[in-house]
Amino acid sequence: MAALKRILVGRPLATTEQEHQRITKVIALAVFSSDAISSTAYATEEILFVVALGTSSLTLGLSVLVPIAAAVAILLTIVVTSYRQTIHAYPNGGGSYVVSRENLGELPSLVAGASLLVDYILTVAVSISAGVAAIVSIPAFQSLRDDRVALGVLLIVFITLANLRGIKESGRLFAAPTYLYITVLTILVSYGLARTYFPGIFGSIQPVPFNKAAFEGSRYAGGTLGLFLILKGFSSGAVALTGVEAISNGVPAFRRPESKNAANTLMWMGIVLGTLFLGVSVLAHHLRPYPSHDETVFSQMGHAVFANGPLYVVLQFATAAILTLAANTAYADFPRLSSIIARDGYLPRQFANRGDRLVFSNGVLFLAGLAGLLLVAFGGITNALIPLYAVGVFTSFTLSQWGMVKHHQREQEPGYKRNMIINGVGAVATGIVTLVIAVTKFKGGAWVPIVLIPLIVLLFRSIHRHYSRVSAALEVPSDYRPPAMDHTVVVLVGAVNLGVLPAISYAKSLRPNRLFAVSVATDENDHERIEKQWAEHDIDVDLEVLYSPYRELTRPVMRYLDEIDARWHNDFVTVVIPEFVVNHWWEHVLHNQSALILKGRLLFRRGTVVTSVPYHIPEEHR
Amino acid sequence: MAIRQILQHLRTPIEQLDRESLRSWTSATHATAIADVVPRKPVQICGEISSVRIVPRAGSPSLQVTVTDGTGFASAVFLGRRRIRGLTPGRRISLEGVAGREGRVFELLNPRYEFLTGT
Repeated sequence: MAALKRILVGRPLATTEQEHQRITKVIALAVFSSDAISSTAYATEEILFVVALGTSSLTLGLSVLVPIAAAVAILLTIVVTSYRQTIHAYPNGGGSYVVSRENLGELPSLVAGASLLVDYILTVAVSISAGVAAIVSIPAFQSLRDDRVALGVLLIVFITLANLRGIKESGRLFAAPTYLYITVLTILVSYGLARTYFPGIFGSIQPVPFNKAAFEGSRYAGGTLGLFLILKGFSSGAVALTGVEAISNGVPAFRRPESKNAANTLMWMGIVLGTLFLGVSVLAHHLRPYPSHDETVFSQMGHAVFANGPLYVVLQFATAAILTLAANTAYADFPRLSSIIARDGYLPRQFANRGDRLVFSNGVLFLAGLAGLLLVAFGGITNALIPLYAVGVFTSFTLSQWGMVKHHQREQEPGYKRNMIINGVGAVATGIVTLVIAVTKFKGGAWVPIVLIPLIVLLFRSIHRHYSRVSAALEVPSDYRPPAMDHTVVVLVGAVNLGVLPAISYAKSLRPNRLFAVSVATDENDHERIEKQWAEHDIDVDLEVLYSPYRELTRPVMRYLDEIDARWHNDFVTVVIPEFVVNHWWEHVLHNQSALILKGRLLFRRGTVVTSVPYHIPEEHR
Repeated sequence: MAIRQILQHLRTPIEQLDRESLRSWTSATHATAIADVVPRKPVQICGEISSVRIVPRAGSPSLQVTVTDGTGFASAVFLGRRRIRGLTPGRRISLEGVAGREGRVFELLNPRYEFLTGT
């Protein structure tokens, strides 16, 4: 086991090596922005699905695509600008949760924390399934279509292992596909637009041929485009913003100066994401792809621009890779956020522990487990979950920006009025978007987080209550003096043997107020046998022989402990259990485990200490 | 109703059932319940031997027998003897003597003892 772990995860890292685990901006962009940037692969399509299918008219849909995309890009600019403020104000990371905690109080911070945790779990499940969908739509891998779940689980295991090795190593591993995607998408957009606007220089380009069978609507004429549909399309496009908060959560992972590096990385991410998303939407406006379940909008545009050339294949592979890697952003953030929440006492403490490789391994494993469960439960098709998480994301956006407004108001740092306006605009904008998404997508699944998040907040609260109760109970009063102890020691004796005699000597060395050896007899023969042995070995300790009406160990011992508690005042009773240790695990089967059952019972008895005195059975002579 | 009583019965710990059956048995005799014993007065108690103490060979010989009747514990100490045939764990006996205190329980020094039968 130890060797296997060493191969998979690597050698443990010392706490002092933490500095070396920090990542450069180049890697950080790949680690923290793969989620956000991957949304360029589907956000345009999501908008088209709503506005074109909703009106059953491709032309009508396409006419609002670019305005909607521009609105999303403006929203992105607002959010990025105000998150840069957050990064500078809170260099220890934590994003929305920490900002809300510091400025808005307990409940808003828990809502933000719950929204983000749900968001990250869904991100992993959704992006893995989207990645699998992209992989199996590559002609060479179509035979894998029936093994979606297995493939998805395999990918989760792979990403989990990479993340258990440390953020730096997983970052290095996953940086190349991210940059490949950015490059090939840049080529697609710029080459496509160049051919559209300067057909004389770059060669003309034909729009995507319309496929009537695949598009459930007409090409030109059609229904009406109401405000509700436009807003719904906008909220679909807003999925492009998921993952933007990732960097603000992960500031401590950056090289020094963390805040500056993180803020710059965030800006670059915003530029890349905004430009590519707008570019794809403008290109789509010209190429007129139709939303369909047979071929993605992305693939249609790839065909139109690259024909069937090698770049088309690269685009497909890079898309599959980045969709899968979007999960990696959640892996970078979920453990970090859960560790902060755990440190505040709202999640089990185990989440706050750094593992062998200085990552919060428990968080990584928990995330992998839940995401894997979702993936299996939905049979590997989790695209239906996409509308689920936009609500959570925008809730946390709104809370964090509103928190920043309060922050500026309190700090009154130089230029705070300008900063308040930036964050205030962000809070209002994202707040409106939250409402829009909750209303327009309520039936489509947005009700799930609206129900789930309060439940998680309740869970946080009850965990916190438990921890508060325990720590209040453990508090040392100021007038506390350690008491003198009245102490009885009881040694369990089955038969007199080499395991028992040292245990009796050990018990004497505790120098208790009273010491008894105790043996359990089911009949007179037992009684006589132990009495004889006791005399034979001349043991100078009183031996109590207990009656066991039901031929077992636990109850008579428990009754005897009650008896000595009735007889004397005991602060503590120590039960010494001689145990022999066998050399192989299978040898345990040959010995009855009554001592184990007794220990389990004694654990819950007040004022009772259980001590095992081991006796190691010597190896056989060879 | 009956079902609830059965469930109640099934949830009662064995220890408590043991105590109750001992109590109903001893209350049928003329003995005093251990919980009602008064110190320095002659008394008769009965119960089941829950433990027998064997002292080391080096010490002065004595035999301590602890009985329980479901209301508490009491001991009988027989000085000058290491064992008495028949006084073994699980036996039911009746003890007659003067109750003294040993720690917080009553102890009868060299009491008259009698083996009882019945359940």
